[in-house]
Amino acid sequence: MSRQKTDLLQGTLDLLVLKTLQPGPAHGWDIAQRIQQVSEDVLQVNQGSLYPALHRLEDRGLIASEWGASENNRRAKYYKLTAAGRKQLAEETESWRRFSWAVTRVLQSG
Amino acid sequence: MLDKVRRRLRALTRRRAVELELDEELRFHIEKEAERNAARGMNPEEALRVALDRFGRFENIKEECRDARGVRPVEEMLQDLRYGARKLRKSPGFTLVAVMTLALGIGANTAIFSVVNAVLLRPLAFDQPEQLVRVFGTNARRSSFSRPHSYPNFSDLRDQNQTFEAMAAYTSASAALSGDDAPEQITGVIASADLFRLLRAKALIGRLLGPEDEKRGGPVVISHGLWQRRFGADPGVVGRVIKLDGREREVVGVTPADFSFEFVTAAADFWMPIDPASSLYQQRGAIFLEAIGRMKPGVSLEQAGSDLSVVAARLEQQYQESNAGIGVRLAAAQEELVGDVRPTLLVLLGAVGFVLLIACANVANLLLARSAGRHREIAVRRALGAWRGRIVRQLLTESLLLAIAGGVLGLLFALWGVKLISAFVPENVPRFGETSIDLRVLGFTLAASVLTGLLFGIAPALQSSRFDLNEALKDGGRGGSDGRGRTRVRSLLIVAEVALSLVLLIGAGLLIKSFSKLRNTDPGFDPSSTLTASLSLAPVRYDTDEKIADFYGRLVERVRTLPGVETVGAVNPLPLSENDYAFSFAVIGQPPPPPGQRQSASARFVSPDYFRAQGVPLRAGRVFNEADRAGAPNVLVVNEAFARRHLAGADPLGQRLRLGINGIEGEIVGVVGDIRGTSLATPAEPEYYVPAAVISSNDLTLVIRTATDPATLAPALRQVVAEMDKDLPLYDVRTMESLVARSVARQRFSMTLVGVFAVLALLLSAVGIFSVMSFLVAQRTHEIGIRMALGAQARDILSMVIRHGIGLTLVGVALGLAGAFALTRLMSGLLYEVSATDPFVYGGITALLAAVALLACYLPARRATKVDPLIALRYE
Repeated sequence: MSRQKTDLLQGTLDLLVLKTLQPGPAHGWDIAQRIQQVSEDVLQVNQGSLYPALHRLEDRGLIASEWGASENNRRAKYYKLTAAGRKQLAEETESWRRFSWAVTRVLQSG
Repeated sequence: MLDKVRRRLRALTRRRAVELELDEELRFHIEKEAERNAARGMNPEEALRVALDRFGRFENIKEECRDARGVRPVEEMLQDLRYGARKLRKSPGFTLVAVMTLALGIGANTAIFSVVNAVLLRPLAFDQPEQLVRVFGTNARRSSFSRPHSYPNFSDLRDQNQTFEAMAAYTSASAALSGDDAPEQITGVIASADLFRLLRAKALIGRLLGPEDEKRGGPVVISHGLWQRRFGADPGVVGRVIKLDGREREVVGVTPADFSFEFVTAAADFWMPIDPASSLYQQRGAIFLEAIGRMKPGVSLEQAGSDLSVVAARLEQQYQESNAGIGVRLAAAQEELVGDVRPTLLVLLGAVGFVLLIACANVANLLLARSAGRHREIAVRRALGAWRGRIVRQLLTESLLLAIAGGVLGLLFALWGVKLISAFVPENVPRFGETSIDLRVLGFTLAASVLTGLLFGIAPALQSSRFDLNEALKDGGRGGSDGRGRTRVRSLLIVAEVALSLVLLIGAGLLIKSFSKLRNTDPGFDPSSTLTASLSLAPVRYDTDEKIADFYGRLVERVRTLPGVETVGAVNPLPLSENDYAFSFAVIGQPPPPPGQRQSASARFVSPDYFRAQGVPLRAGRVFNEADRAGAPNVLVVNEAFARRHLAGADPLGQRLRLGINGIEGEIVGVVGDIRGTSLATPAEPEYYVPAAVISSNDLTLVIRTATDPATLAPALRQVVAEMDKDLPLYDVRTMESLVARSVARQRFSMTLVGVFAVLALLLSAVGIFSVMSFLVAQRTHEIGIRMALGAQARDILSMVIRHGIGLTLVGVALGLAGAFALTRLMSGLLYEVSATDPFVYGGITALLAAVALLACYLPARRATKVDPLIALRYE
């Protein structure tokens, strides 16, 4: 039961990370901030749990990382989408839309 | 994909750098968050605290990130390996004993497997060897007989079939190679033109034989070995003329070093074409050719068989007189070549597998003993949160390390073992020379090692990872006691070892009894103090009966005067020489048998003194004398088996036979004892003897009975022959004893190997029982102390411990007897006059094993009686 929940959360988190990286490379803190801002603080997760997700996505080849200089010239690890990541994002966005549309329909019908 | 591999590889090999980066990345996040908090007006401390709070548990996140790298299992394995290696290094005594035990087991298995691989598994070294089949004749009257072909029959089979790409006939040959060096008798093959094309063989230099060579005085191809030995590997040998049996032949090619045609002999040194025009090749009754064929692609053995049967049936119709009842039988070439050593090799493989199982049991025992000492370590690790599977994995990794180390060392043992085996392998084991450690053997060793590691590791690993906090704490103080479960596993191991050893020992016992029966079999002649040596007079120079008779007459006279010589006889073929000439005959006065059912028996051509020299006893009548020569009335001698089978009760003396050799008729004047002429294990066959002076034979073997060591006579004998004819080689100079030994070499081989394995098994088991019993006694010191304090006598303690050990042994013996009963049947084919359930062997071996087990129990038990109650109790 709890396992399923994590999977669901994890999948969602993955999708959000990919989406956040669509405009361009970002480091972990940036990604966390953006997800929070965009979701208007609804999605409250531990910021730390973002990192395992990032590493997993990198291991799957959906994103790539590179060390670069941050705004105030500190070393930071930047992530960017790979071609595979872009494809995955498109696919998952589509299926998420369908899923939420279906859920919405069910909820409205009651 | 490549990126992924590179990243994972980096995660494995540059662990420290990757960890530092992870640290830096997370730290950056927290600092950044703290900065933002500070910018929102928190003081620095609060800013950091809130940032850490929002981040979550730092170490957990790091752990999750590590998991996300996807190399976790590998990492853990490396960790286990490092840990295991360190542990093993710390107890060198244990490691040494375990690795040596395993190396012995795995090495012996690898050695035997490499032989099995070379002989049974590896395809023949010809192109598409699965298409090659041997073609035999059959005789409806003699079902097990593989009948050779006559040339006319062979050529009809070759020309009228639909399913063969090519078919070739061949026969073995022997010839004297003379020239500048000392003459040498070499063996070779006479083959029809298609043989090399059929085998798809290529010449090393020059060319091989082809259709144009099938003629009188055709050319010769020589082997790589002969080329090296006699011609100094001179490429100019092609085109040279050499003298074989006094006849000049042109060398047209040399076969490659790895070319061997073991269907005739592995040692063939020359290849000559047949001469289809010669008279021998014109007779449908002259059967002396073997045949081999290459089936067309996609044709099955059955299809080819029925195709040839159609041809054979047609020939039967066409040539009633010679072909009645004659059919064909096909056999896959490889199967035919190695089929009769298969049982021996499989028995050896089974035996050596048992040794490995016993080695496994011993190492498992060692591991159990050791794990008792590691109880605390494991309890601590469990308490610190390692789950059981993780500990089992770690312990198994350790076992695998041991097994792999044993495998590597075992490979070295195997190399050495193969050398040892080749020193006494019988010369007639086909393909043995191809034995080598190839990839398949390496794979076998690896698989055997891994399986071994799992096998001996799993029970101890499961056992010691079982974690009971109470017990751990209770035991902790005493440095580890043996739990109940562990005792049960050890008991099972003892039972298994006893059972396995018993099966192996009984197998060895049967083979030993069988061999001793074989060695004690009376061959029908006296092989002691007898030297034999063969000569073949070149037909070119010894072309008349007079010349041959004159030469042999003078030779025998001269040899007789050599010091130490008692009697000189001459015979062809020599018993146990693997030559056999069967000729048909008819008993005059008996009704003639129907066509195709002519009687035949082995014939030997002998000099008058042969029977005395060989030690064949005369039973009735007389043997030959000097007067029995060409021109005098023909006389014959038969053996008792001949009289029994073919003369049915009548007095053999005075009966007359008409022989299938030149239509000679002769009177039986004597009956001699039966001899085992094929091998010691083969019962005597009917034979008849013809005076060598009547039918002159270019080939003869001298049989010389000496008063001294027969082997010392050889140089003088060579000297005599060289003086009489410098181009005439004397060959196969052997004592009769060595021929007898050769005829039982295969039985000796399997007996020795299985015997060695059985002794190894017995020793391993004895050590196993001894160590387990010692350990149990040590564990029960406390209990024994109490018993003694309460008044138990030394005798009571002794019998208590021994009863325990003997109980286990008896269970093992019962299982072992059942196993032996079931398994030794499989080797009944290897046994000679011994039943696979021989009660004496079963009883004797069981007693032997029980005695050894008793001793292995007694020694620790005696130690138990020396326990001083005071010390035992204080030990607590």
